[in-house]
Amino acid sequence: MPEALTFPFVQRALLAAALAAPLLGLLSPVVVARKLAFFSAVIGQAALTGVALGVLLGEPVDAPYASVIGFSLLFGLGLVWLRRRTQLTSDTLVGVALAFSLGLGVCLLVAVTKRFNVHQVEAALFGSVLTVTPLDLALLGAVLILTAALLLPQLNALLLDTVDPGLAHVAQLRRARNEYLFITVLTLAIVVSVKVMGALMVEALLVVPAATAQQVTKSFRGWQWLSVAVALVASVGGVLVSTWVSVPSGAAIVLVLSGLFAVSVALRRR
Amino acid sequence: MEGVALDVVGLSVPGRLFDVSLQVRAGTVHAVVGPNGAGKSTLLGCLAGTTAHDGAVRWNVRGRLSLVPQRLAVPSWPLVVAEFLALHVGARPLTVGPGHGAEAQARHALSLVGASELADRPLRTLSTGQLQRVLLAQALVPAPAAVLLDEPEAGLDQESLTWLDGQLQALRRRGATVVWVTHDAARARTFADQTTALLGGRRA
Repeated sequence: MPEALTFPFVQRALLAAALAAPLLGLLSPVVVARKLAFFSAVIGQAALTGVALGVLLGEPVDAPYASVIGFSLLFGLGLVWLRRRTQLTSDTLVGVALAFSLGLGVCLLVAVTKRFNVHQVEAALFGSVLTVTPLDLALLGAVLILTAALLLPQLNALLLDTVDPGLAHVAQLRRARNEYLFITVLTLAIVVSVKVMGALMVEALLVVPAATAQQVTKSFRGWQWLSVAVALVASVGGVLVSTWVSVPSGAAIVLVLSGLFAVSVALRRR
Repeated sequence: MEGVALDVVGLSVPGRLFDVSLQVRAGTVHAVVGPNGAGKSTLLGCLAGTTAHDGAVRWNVRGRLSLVPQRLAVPSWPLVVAEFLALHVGARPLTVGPGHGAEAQARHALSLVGASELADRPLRTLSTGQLQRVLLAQALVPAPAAVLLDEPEAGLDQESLTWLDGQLQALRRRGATVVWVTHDAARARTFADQTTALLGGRRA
């Protein structure tokens, strides 16, 4: 075994990657099918704003979870609520929300960097699995279990609603409840994965696995499992790369993901 | 209201439908005809509950109400026909596969519309006629008490139209109440028990 793998912080990093991958890989096809890539990116940015808010409110700089979860959930569910009550298209509304989140985030981050070292904020921006704590792992595991318990029973209803809202309505599915439920699970998954991926890149692990798997699968079942596999290979591979070469874990994972995507496109052409 | 499966009173949608009333007898095929823009699909949306409206829509059927939409925005993502049909029959999450019961129901639905060979085809690879069969299949299993058909003949060739006529008669034989929106008045006269004509959002 390479010496690096014997260090507890590296083992925690790999475990975090191995938990985040199935979590985001499982959600990835639903995110792509429901066209929530942009939304996911904005929630990642909202998490960053939540980090700054938490630090300013006195939470620990490496685990401001109460503020991050609270702000991100408020942000995500608020967006869904607004979209359901306005005539605005989803991407327009998400664009407005992105502007607000960035504006607020920048103001808060400037205030934060006056009190803390800017490198402590970089971990939230780009991911830093080497600083993963047992609390981070516990939260990742808990959200993974919560996702399986809440999402899977509603998956078929969500998919029918995605294919044709009219068919879902006639089937008397609880469309609004399912949407809020999915956004809750998605937001939690994004928030607890920020340590691994970074706020700016967490969306990649929600989009690229499904985009990669989509090139070579025909069924939804195959799509979802291959998406999990792609996420797992990229996450663990990216963490190993970031351990050996001194680069942020989020960036390394994104590069591995991009390589896998390129391979899948090449395979499809054949 | 003995024998009335659907009672519609004073149905209005601003700018699209004006004070439309009609009754549909149980176990009959009721056609709604009219030219483009007459309000047929709006009326069907009200009956399905997907379009907000004034006035009353009272269903008096026991069992499933199913819908065959005029067109489906076919997903560009991976979904095979059997999986799509499994979404309608209370299957296990697709992540773990729909299960034997749901799969058997999906295959039964396809056999009812003569399309068993489509079960493992991705939805995005189907022709218009094949897609129409799959849309009808999802409406047939589980067996519906009432079916809403929104111009199911759109885009079909003559052979598929003949097949569709047979399906309408089969639905009637099974005792289902059918509301069939169509622009083909001649076909409606041939196959429907009752007809409501719309023009400019009003009963003609």
